[in-house]
Amino acid sequence: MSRGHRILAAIVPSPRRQWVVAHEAEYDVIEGRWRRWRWTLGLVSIVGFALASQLRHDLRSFLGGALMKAATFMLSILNVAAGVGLLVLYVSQSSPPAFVLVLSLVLLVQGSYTIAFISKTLRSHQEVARRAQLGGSMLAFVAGTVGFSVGLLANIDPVNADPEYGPMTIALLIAGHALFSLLAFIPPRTIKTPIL
Amino acid sequence: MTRQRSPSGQTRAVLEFLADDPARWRHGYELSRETGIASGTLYPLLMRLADRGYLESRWEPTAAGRPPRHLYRLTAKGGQFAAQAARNAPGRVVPRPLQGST
Repeated sequence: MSRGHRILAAIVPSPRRQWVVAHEAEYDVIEGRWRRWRWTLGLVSIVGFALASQLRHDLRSFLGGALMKAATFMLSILNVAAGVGLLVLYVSQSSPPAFVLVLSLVLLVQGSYTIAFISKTLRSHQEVARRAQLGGSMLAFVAGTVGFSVGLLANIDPVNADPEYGPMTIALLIAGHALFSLLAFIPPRTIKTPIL
Repeated sequence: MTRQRSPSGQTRAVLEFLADDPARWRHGYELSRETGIASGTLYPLLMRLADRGYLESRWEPTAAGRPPRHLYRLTAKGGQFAAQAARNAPGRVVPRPLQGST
């Protein structure tokens, strides 16, 4: 094995390492400098793929673990608390804007549904509940990200030089919760690389 | 939930080549040469096929001083997958052998 292959094989963890070794073993039977050079060049892609797939596997193991679910659970409690706070604000004001009510309901539904999902309250309809959780989270992530971006842009040049951080914070709560929820509950085998 | 995605043209080319003689073990370079797929694409593809149980591999003992070579062939599950891929995307994938290969 060449020194380059040995170094690269050392950084690729087992069991992927055997593929680097297998690739190197073919080198001896290849005739022609150009073809050998081209073969060796492929090693960059092989090592990259091996490392990326290992990292993805490790990351998914971590993200799909209890820690991730616990973090999502805590964020859900935070969303419910924020939703209740907004609802109180809406009720206590004389003529509150309607979007305060909408946002409070979004936070309440997002947080309470996730709490119910994690605590397996919806286990009798688990498959439907899981799809609703993922679908809702995707929607919430898009809406929250858009809301946060709009808030950010509005605050760059605020009306009457008065920046509004409330809507931005709420959008961040919605998007952040949705992102954690997606990472925690997307099945590991759903996403595949396009190579196969 | 596992989303089934139809295999790429390169994957189909490898599957078809291996399915031509399923019992025969093939070397990596032979696969690359016969399908025209560069090694940087071929090996990740083989890794994925092996991960999913479509491909089996073994080390070929060689003469002293030479590293053992890896051999590949389709498993029964891989044969079914190859047949299914061919049915879903009819029309043979024409292999593009590497330039100057024999």
